[in-house]
Amino acid sequence: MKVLKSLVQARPMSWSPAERLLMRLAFAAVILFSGILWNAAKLPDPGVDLKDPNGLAKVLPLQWLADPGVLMVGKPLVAAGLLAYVVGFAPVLTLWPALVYMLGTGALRNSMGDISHHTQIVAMVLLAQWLVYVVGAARRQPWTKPPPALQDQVIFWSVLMIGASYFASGIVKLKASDLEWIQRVPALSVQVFKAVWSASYSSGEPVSGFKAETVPWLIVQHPHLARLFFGTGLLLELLGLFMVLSHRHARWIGIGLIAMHLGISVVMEIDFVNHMLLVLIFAVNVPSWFLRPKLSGTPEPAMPHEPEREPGRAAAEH
Amino acid sequence: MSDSESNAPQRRWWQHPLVPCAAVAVLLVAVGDAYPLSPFPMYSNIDTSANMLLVTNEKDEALPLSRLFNSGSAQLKKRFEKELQDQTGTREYQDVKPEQQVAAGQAFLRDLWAGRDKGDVAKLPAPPQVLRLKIRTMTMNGTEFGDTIHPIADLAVTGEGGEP
Repeated sequence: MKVLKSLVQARPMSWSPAERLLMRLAFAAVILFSGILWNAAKLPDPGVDLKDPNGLAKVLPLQWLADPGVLMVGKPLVAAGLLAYVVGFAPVLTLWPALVYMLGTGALRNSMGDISHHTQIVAMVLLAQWLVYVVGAARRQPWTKPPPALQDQVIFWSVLMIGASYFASGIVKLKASDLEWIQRVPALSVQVFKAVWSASYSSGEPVSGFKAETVPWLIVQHPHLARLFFGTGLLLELLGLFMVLSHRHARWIGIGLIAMHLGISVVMEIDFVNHMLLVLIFAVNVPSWFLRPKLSGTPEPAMPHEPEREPGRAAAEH
Repeated sequence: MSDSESNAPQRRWWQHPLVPCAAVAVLLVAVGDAYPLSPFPMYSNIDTSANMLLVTNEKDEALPLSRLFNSGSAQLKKRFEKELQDQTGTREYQDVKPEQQVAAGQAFLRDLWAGRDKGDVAKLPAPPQVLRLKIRTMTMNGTEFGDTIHPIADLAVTGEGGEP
């Protein structure tokens, strides 16, 4: 019992002002990429009926967002709002255009008869951030310049959404396969073949013999090794739940998840760029590797909600 | 949200940060794919057969789908299946009559051609005169693989700028 308790013991998570600024900057760039460049480039014609309304598109009329005039006004508005968000000004208001645009265009994009899974993680983290800011404002915390404790909560919930997404993905695999996902791994050879050829039919580029023939053959010939390789991915997804325990958990599980995505990218030509970027920004948090050692010598003042820390404990965590 | 979820010492089990994280995950699984929410179900059900969609010209040369139609093979396959479901009530082309496959396939190709990128079509060495929709199926039986290509429908198009 003691061992179990120590395994799930949560450590305080807080971030320096510089880390928070860099996270907002990088996240704003991801929103611009996924919300404007990705989603907006693939919107249905505003005059065409949606084939299969999905999510928000089921309950709200969203097709006006695909109107070229709205897009022309909307894009600079989103960009200006995100700029204000990056400097930390009134995020309840300044994140609103990005939220409307990201959720609206994403729902439209997924209402054309097929569902893509590239941008949901960005939309969910954005929604979570905005909701935390709204709750903070509702609790009469300064809303034009959110206090550091609230900003920490925003980042914590970003990590939480990312971890929960991966954990959910792991649960779905176990549920859909009646807990037999690992046993069925050899059949992934067919899925590798499909992924590689689908990528070729999409791009017009010839397939690589290694990916289209050697990899499926290797999976079938060495099923236990394949189970170990792909099973590690499933384990990493399930470990996503524990990213909220401490900076160290978030960092190492995050590095593992990025390695998993890179492996999938090499073997199956399926890229989840947004997933990797968000894990890199909020969980791995590369700037902390350089900023934290300095901070250990000059710790931030304790936040109102933060327990007393022993000197150097924050650094020791890393 | 409460302060206790991240940084304060946990006094009660429900204040532990794993609790909201698990709760969000359960919510995502329960709600399913409803943008912006998703449990990310890709490759959750590993099947021993897989279908791929390709569109060729009259010479049976595969057309680069993402460049010409702004959507990849996997997305277009789901759209064709949706069209098939709307017309016949099933997403499985094997379960419907050949004439139903042709009707759904031609409706899909008409939509596809209507949404083409005219500039990129014009850049092809020769714009297609005919679009051919095909489904390629890969199967696995033990250590043996099967590979078949099934023609669904053809649609004559009159080249760049023309209407089918």
